[in-house]
Amino acid sequence: MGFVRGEESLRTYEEINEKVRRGDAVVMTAEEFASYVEQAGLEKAAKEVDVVTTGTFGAMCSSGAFLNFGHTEPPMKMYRCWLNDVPAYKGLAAVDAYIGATAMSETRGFEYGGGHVIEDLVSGREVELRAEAYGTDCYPRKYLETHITIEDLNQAVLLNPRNAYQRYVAATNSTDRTLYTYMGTLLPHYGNVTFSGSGVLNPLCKDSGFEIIGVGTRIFLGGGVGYVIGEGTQHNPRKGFGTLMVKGDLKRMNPRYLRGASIYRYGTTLYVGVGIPIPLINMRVAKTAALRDEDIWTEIVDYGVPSRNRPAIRKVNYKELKSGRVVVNDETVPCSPLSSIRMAREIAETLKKWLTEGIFFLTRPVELLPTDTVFKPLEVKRREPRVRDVMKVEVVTAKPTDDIRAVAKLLVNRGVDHIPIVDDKGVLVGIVTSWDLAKALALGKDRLMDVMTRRVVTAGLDDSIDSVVSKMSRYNISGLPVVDDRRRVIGLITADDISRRLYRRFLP
Amino acid sequence: MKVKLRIVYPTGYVERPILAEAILTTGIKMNILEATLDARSGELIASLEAEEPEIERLVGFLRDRGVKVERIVGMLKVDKDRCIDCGACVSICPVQAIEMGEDWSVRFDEDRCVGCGACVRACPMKAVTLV
Repeated sequence: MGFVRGEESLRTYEEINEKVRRGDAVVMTAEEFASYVEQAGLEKAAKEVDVVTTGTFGAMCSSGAFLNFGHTEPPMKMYRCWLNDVPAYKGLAAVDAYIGATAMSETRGFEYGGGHVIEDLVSGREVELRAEAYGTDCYPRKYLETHITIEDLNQAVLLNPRNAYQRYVAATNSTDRTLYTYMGTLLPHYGNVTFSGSGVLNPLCKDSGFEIIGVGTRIFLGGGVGYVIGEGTQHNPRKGFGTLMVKGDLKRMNPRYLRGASIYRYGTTLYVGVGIPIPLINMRVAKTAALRDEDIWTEIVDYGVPSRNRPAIRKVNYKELKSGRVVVNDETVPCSPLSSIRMAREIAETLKKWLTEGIFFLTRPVELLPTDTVFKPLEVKRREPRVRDVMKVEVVTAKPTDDIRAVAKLLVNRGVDHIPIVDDKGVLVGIVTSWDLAKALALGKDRLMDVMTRRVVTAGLDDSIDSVVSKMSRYNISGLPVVDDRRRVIGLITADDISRRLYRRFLP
Repeated sequence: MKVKLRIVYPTGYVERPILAEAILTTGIKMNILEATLDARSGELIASLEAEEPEIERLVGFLRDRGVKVERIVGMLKVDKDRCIDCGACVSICPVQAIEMGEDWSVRFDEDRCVGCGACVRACPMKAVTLV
């Protein structure tokens, strides 16, 4: 490396703060700066502009707040506690708790969660506090029910382990059913694309060299002032997926920029407003701060594949994503954001205002963020049963031309409920159940091919039991033929097989 | 003008071609947005464009034949204080009644809305309701 990360060759933090104090710092939002660079060139723009402001306002699940309730009379070492029926983490000292954004109400479920509790607190609304304890000599109280407001709390500190992703993948869905994901509603057959992040305004995109954002960077957080306290969890700078851990005084925040949310059939979360000032301390920072939507790339990923390695369909930049139409597999489909670009813009504007009014000063990070960490997966080391471990290998099958009475007899004699129907080569062509046969006999049908189900839901040898169970409940069926890659029947897995297996696991 | 009608067929009226008669008689073209039907009753939501007297005539015709007709006004209600203009409802609208404005605010086109409710479910802020 021919340079020192974070070097202040263009201007220093002190010089910028002096100009902020005098009220003559030149500040532009990232959108304004990107177009100014296009017009005036990078050299001239970098020389003139001191600070570029950024903003993002999106669902950030790894968010939450530390709360200190103060002591009751007699005092209590709270062992479990709930705020508006949402459980808060109590593995801390007597009256300290952490309310996480994705914790859900035990009475209202998906409708209300930790994110909503945080929004209610910041809005000054009363929140019900309920707590349980086992009682000790020093903390005799065992139960508590009261209500609190943010004013009553000694401390309320927003501390978010992972916020402000540098960028995020865009989502689409290849399957034939609508999916409800944390990336919103995804229509079947690549019916739409959703994306997150504000592109040109995205804080970490504007410092992709990690030269100015570090431990101690003062930021806009939830409408108040916050600080970066380190890299966020899953920080993956090499892949362009940097993240931040941030904190700030919840008591000084604004509910406009902290909003509880419920994502349909997914869960609850918190929309967090984050804005970071980018001081143009050297030309490299100026260059990344000038990146436009068309310079910021991500991938459209197929959320129809329920795996941690979801396949990427294509690369795409934020200009195309923001256009509202995206080409997927030669078809133009509607595309919309999940994070609010209007609010991101408002945050960048607010931060700009704070700087030009001289009420917000920049800090030089105490330590820069790591640029070499990796994001590792979690390997399941205990072997989990697969279809091959649970299925029956001896399968009673029949031919499409078989007589129904003969097959009914077979069903009774062999004590089975499902009979896969195969052709001469053993390839699956249908399935009948005892119910189908009863119906066929009642209606006077003779041949299997007249009553069998032709669109058969199947399983593969190495499929997880979870995936089989979810197919059973989705299609309301109780047995799946197991087929090889040429669709020849090699086994059968039924709900009975699975429940027997589960039962064995819990036996002493 | 453009209007949307909810047409409810009570028990015993389902099998009669009342709507077809109404279209043939009045000459008004209708677009069926939604239809639910069972053996006892049925409900249609239709949109159409015509002059006010013609609409009155159509409504009168239908009512004379025993079906209930009401005009649907403003199916969608958006709580602008809750809405953050995120866009989660935009690309999933089946009739493109929701779009992003130049200023990145979400715009709802009441005329196009068919009241399917997809945006109600998709809204993370629970800002959209159907009336």
